[in-house]
Amino acid sequence: MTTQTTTAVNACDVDIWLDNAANTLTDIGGGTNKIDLEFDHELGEYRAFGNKWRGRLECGKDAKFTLYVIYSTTATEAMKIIESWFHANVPGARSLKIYVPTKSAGAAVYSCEARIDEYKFTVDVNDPNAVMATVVLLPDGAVTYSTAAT
Amino acid sequence: MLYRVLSNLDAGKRGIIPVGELTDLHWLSPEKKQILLDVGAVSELQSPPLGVLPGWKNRAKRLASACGTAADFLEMDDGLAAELLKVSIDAVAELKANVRSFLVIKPATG
Repeated sequence: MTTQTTTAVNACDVDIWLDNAANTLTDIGGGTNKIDLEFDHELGEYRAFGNKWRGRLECGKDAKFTLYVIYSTTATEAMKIIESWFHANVPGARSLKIYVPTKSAGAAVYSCEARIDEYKFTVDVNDPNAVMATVVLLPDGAVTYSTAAT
Repeated sequence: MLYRVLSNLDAGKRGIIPVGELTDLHWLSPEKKQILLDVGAVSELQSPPLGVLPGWKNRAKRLASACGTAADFLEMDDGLAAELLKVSIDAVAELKANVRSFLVIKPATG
């Protein structure tokens, strides 16, 4: 019989921390409700005479983080941190940490120095829901995968 | 108890502890240490007898009354080690670094 997993998790309590303008990691989970994490591994390929199967070569790695941010007006919350970051004269890279399933020992931690690539939102007079913004962050250097030990 | 790091550890303000390193996880409660063992992020360090390390046969004999394995020596009180080895406390720190270098596994790069 197939062994069934007993350690499945959901995303209800995922934690996301981002540097604020003072370079202090700040919990922005309360202003964010979804994150797309995309990891890419560049693979080259070749095939030679006499072989049906392709060989593949590994090269670079990259990642992309898309945050779904609730448009709020408090300076210490996600939206204003993002906006002040983007609109700074020199936005620069900031530390980003995402804890899955939550910020506690044993959690998976994805961390990097990230740069803000874009943010966008739509304001629609006919939509009574909270305004949502999407924010794309790209790593500047390696994304570290680790296990939380705090 | 010393642990071998099997997955990079994010230790908060202590930074990242890389794969292959040794740590005593002294800042964590026993429950949190067990979680890290359960998820396979660390394992209890299995270390060899001190005397099998290159250059340690005679020192191991002097330390035999207090420690048997390399890990025992790393966790041993510096003062007692200095007394048994008849060296200074500073020298004990260097000797521990030497033993540690045999136990840490550098991960492959690339």
